[in-house]
Formats: sequence, structure tokens, C-alpha cells
Amino acid sequence: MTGRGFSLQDADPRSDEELVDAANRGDAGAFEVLYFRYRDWVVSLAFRFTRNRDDALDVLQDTFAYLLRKFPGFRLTARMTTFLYPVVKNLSLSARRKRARYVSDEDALTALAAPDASADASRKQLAVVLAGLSDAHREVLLMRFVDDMTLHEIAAVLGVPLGTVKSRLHHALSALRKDKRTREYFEPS
Amino acid sequence: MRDTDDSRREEPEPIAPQRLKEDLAALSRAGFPVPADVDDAVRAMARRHFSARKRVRHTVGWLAAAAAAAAVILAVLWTSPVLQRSISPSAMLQDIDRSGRVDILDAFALARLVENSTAPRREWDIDGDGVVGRRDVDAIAMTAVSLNKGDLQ
Repeated sequence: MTGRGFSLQDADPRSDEELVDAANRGDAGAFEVLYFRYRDWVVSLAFRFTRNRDDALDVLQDTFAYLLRKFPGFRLTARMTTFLYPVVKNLSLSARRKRARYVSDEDALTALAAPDASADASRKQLAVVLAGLSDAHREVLLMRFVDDMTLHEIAAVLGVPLGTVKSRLHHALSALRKDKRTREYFEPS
Repeated sequence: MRDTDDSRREEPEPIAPQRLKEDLAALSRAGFPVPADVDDAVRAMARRHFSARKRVRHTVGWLAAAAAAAAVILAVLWTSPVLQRSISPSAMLQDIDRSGRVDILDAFALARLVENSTAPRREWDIDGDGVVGRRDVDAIAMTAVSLNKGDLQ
């Protein structure tokens, strides 16, 4: 969702690497394109961790302030989402600590899933089952299937072996498959 | 089950049904729009950052040029006899920082003044060509290396 009616990412054909190069040369417009390209993903990820709209918006600004300070001289050696993920996560966890609000894992996921009234029943059930997963399993599941990171990228970001990522993913999917509330996702349609 | 070992490394990658992925994505969305003032704040931050970088590059460029000019002149004159000259009123005008001596710091000071000023002063036109600019900075640098220790006294 956006506050304006257009997305710069659709209008600019340059790759992230090209935009980074341009920003290194002092092109503020290139940085702006990067911002709009990743803005919604960053704020969604921040909200996933903070469960607070204002904190998520603060993390959004802080994330891009952090990225901005890298210029000139920034080298993009991974995908932008892979680079930004730990930044957003750390800023979000700091925001939560500052707010001094304890949000249990269960609360977090229950809230994450607070599907709106129009969400269908299966999505609501999915939210409840997700809340029952451990932080580690749920995080890997979302990084892989929502943030679209490869397993190697997840392993690098989390600082764990590749096999551990696979193990956590297997466990998360197995839990969803076995739970009668989410089993239908795995049944042939 | 230990989940920090690497024993599953060689296993094929787990896959998820498409509908599951779609619903996970839907649940993960923030669910609120980013306000326009947040976008504006980030834009403004970016403009300030890149503008400041341009000013620093430009100023550093000026100072580097002045320093380079003085260094070349110093290198040439260091091998020549240093001439004793009487201090002229024009040399006193070149004491930009009013230190009592004309030295390379006055060249740097004039470079900064020219860079940051919107109304150059007439007395900064050291070489008298009617224009205040890099030549005047170079003129001070020349004076600095030609005076005996740069003292005006």
C-alpha cells in the first residue's frame, strides 16, 4: 500500500546495481528510486517484528537513513533484501526494546495474523498455526516464502549453516501439513 | 531434533504450495499505507545528504588546488635563492587571516571565502584583474613562498 498513487519502481528500468552506482556518483534521484522500490517490503518486515505502526514507520526511515550513510562508496554484494533484512530486524528489535513493551512470540504472531474481517477462514487458521511455531521456524518460513530469499541467503543473514535452514523449513512446513487447520494447503485441489 | 546441525544440507529444498505462499504474504503485509510525509522526509534526507557531499567535494577541490599550486611553487623556489623584498602594502592586503604574516594559510582562507561568499570584496582581487577567483588564491600562494618566512614585519 502506498501513500501516493504510483510506484517509482515500475517506472525506472534500472537494476539495483545501476541505481547504487548512480547514487555513488551523487544521484539523489537514484536513491529515491531504491527507496520506493523497497519501501513497502521494509515497512511490512518492520511491522512483522515491531507489531506497532509508528515503530514500523520509524524503522522504515531509520533503515533508509542507514543505507544513505553508505553513499558514496557503497558496494551491493548481495540482493538488496538480503542486505536490508538484518538492518530492519535489528532496528525493529531496538524499537521494541525502547517501547519497553513485551510482546510474546504468540502475541506477535497472533497480531501479525490479525487478519482483517474479510480474510477467509483458512487464512485465519493459518495465522493461528503460525503463532504456534517457534520464532526460529516461523522466521525461516517467512524469509523463504514471503521475502523470497534463497536458502543460502537465509543462512548468510541468520549466520547458521545451510542444513539448519533446511531443517527449520522442513519442520515449519511439516507442522503446517500435520495440523488439521492448515492441512488443506497441502491437499491436491 | 537438533536444528543447528548441517545434516540436512544435501537434502532437496523444501517447497510450499502456491496458495500457502500467497496467504503467508497476505498475512505479512503491514496493512497500512506509508504516509506521504514519511516519503517526503526520506526524500529531504537524501537531498541534504547528496547536496552536502557535493559541497564538500567542491571545497576540497578548491583547497587541494590551492595547496597543489603552493606546493609546486615551493618546490621550484626552494632550489633558488630566496629574494629579500620589502613588504608592500599589497602584501599586507594578502594577510587574509590577519596573522601578521602572509603564508599558505592565507591562500586557504581566501579560497574558503571565495567559495562561501555571495558578495566578494574588492580587496580580495589580489592580482587586480577585476575578478575574484583562483588566480587571486594563487597570487597569495606566490607571495607566501617569496617572502622571507612570510613575515610582514
